[in-house]
Amino acid sequence: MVTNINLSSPEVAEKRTLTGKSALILSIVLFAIVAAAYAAIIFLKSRYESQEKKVSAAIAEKQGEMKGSSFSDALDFQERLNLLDKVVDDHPYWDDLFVKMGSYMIPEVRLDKFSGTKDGAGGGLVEITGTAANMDALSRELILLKDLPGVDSFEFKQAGEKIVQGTDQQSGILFSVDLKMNQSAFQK
Amino acid sequence: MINQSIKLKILILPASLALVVIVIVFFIKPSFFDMNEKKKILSEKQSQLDSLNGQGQKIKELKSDWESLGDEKTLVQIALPESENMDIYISELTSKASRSGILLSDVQKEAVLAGSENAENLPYVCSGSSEAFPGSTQGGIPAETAAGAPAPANDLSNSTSPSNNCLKMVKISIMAKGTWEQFLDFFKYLEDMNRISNVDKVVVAVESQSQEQQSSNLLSINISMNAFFKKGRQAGDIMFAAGPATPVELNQKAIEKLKEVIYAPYAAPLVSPNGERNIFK
Repeated sequence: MVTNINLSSPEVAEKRTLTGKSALILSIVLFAIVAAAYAAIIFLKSRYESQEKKVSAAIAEKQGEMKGSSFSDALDFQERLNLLDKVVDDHPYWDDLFVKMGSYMIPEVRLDKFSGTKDGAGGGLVEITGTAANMDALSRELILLKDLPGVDSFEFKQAGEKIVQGTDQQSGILFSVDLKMNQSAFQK
Repeated sequence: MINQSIKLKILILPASLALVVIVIVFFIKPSFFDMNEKKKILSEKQSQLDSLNGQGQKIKELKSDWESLGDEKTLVQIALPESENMDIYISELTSKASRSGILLSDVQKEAVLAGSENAENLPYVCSGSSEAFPGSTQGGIPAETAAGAPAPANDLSNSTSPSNNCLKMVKISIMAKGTWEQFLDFFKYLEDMNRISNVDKVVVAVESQSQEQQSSNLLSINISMNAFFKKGRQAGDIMFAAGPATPVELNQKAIEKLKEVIYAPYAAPLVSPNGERNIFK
């Protein structure tokens, strides 16, 4: 009597071994997965390409539409407005400066020459030459001018006796002053 | 049987694994990177299209706002014409002079030289007049750009070729004679001219007087003024590179400012009553 005795443990007995058939199936499955991944990538790539072509065409069409004459007038107007905005911001009001200056001139002083030049920053330089009745009037005038609204800096240049031509008579004190004005001096 | 199975395992599985690795390395990986590149390009173009659509919408609104404007179009056209329009400008100047009673003795058009003090000082003025310098390489380039500073941002509100993004300047020099009151009147008129002009330089002097006269009422005046013009934009001049955040709205503020200047109610200059006086007397 032959007795077959299984000496292996039950876990070992249940463990399946990789057969040739299963190895083949596994390989095929692996290939199928790889092929599917590759196909998906190719499909997505071609889809992106076709979408990109459509979007590029839409961009070209939109740009063509925007560059067209139908909008150019409005855009030109807008551009003019933007530039005009800057020009108007730079618009000086000289008469206000003259009138303001009038309030800061004492009766014993009068101007012979006024020369004003605007600079790019909105301010400007005012050079004045005038005649004061005497040194006392001139000193009071200089103190007053320093308080003129819009004056950034004040530079006294010179003062001397004014002699009437042809005679030796003195007709006051001739003086000249430079005033560096800021932008507010030329604004309303 | 066991031997056959082992042989198959040895042959098929490693070979197929090796093949799979080869396919992944030589086909799938490059295609994957290629696909990602295409996806990135598509995404960029899509955002560009979205941005353009946004801009297109804003420009349509701008156009609709522009179409709804009435006199403002004419106002801007006169304030900033497309050409020098010297005849109209001189006519307006002489009309202002006669209204104020001032006597114009000389009106001259000065050349605006490329790189001149004025052109450099005003950033919105082209550094050279194309008429004066047809062959100049700097002609028509904004002063900032010509001076080497970075060009202005290329937004839609300023989206033009450089030659269109600045103003041409006409410089006029006026010599006149008049009294203090006439002179103040003249300045009032000059300030609200239809053609926007900025007085750049003023020289006022008491007219040379005879020995008998203590002081003269007459003043000699020399004024240097800047007027501007801008050539019209041609269709196709526009470059669109702005983002969706770029403001493309009609600059109503500029229209209001312009109206304030041009439609300023005339008020006779205040002389004497409040202490102000003729500073030349």
